[in-house]
Amino acid sequence: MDEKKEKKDVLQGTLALMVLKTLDVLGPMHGYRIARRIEQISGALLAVNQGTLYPLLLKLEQEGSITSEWGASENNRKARFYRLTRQGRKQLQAEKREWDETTAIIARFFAVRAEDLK
Amino acid sequence: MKKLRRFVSRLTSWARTDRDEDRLRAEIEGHIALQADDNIRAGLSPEEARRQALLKFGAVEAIKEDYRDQRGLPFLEALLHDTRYALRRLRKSPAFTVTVIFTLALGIGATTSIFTLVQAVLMKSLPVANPDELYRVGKDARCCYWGGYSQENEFSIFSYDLYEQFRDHTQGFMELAAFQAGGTLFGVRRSGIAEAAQGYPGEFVSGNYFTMFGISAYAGRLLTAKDDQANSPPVAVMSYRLWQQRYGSDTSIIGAVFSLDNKPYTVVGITPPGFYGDKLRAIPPDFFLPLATAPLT
Repeated sequence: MDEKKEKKDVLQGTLALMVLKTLDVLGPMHGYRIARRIEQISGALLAVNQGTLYPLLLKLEQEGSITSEWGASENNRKARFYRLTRQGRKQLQAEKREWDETTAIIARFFAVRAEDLK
Repeated sequence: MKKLRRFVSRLTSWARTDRDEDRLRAEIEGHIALQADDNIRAGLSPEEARRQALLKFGAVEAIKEDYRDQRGLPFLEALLHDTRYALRRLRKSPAFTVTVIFTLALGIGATTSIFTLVQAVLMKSLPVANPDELYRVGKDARCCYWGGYSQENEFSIFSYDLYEQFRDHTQGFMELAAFQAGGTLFGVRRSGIAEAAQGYPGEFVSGNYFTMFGISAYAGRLLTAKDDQANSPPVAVMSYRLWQQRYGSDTSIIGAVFSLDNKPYTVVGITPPGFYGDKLRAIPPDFFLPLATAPLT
């Protein structure tokens, strides 16, 4: 249970980052397009469960990183459009920095070869 | 900050459950329709397009559940439901309910009163300077009253002569004070005021009694060794309780002359509020008088 939850948290964390980045790059869009976009770029992450995006969108909205309002999609269907807030932009920058640091550390860790430590 | 904001948002969203449910339903509906549109464009039949869209979206009910967990405060909601359920069940079996409430009330009440007693008697320190340096001379629990006197139980009460002997010849104590065994009910009247005498408990104590306890007067002064001499003018110390309740904290009491069993005593001071004498008594003494003024009968 715990392990499963932890894994889900990590996944949700990266997913959140992807959502924020997508909204940052492409501007306001509805849930389906966010899902498609993430699917295009990340492939496997949302391939099966696009629906998992919605609880995450709600969480981000509750945290004040994004806001949403009803609108019409390209082919005139009712859809809820999400937009990055100023706070969301700040959060994105902070999380990107953290992410860069983490990946840099991990990369350095993997780069070390046995002979380097002698 | 983010957490707080999220909490507030969840708390408020608790109140608009239905609207949120509608929103989610509409959003999912829209998402699946858009996906189905794309699928049709890719060449699928409308039924197959919708089926594929649903499949790709994932388990709708599970996601709705997840969404609900995120939205409100499921813990609070569950608590509320459980409470309602419990109350309903209790209402259905009144006999059981009454028994339970009665048992709980009795248990809590008994525990509280016992703890109050233990707290007062055992745990709270005595209202004196150094309670841990205080010793009572004697080895029996029976003490300080005439009933404690018997030939078999040694050290229960002492003669004044023996006390003097101990006081003057025992090293190792800073003070050795004495007080009367039992108490006396005095007929008390304030001199110069025409009123019927009233009965108040009093106690004869040695001059160093208050010095030994290390307490100081609330007002005026307390007894000293000098007051406890045969030819000293008779003085008395009044309890805070009597001073406050009978005389309304009147400062003119200090210096006033009171007649106790027809013997005039000048009240020189008031004890501090928390001090009720040397032993636990239902009626604590209201007057502390020097032993030297005790009648010899």
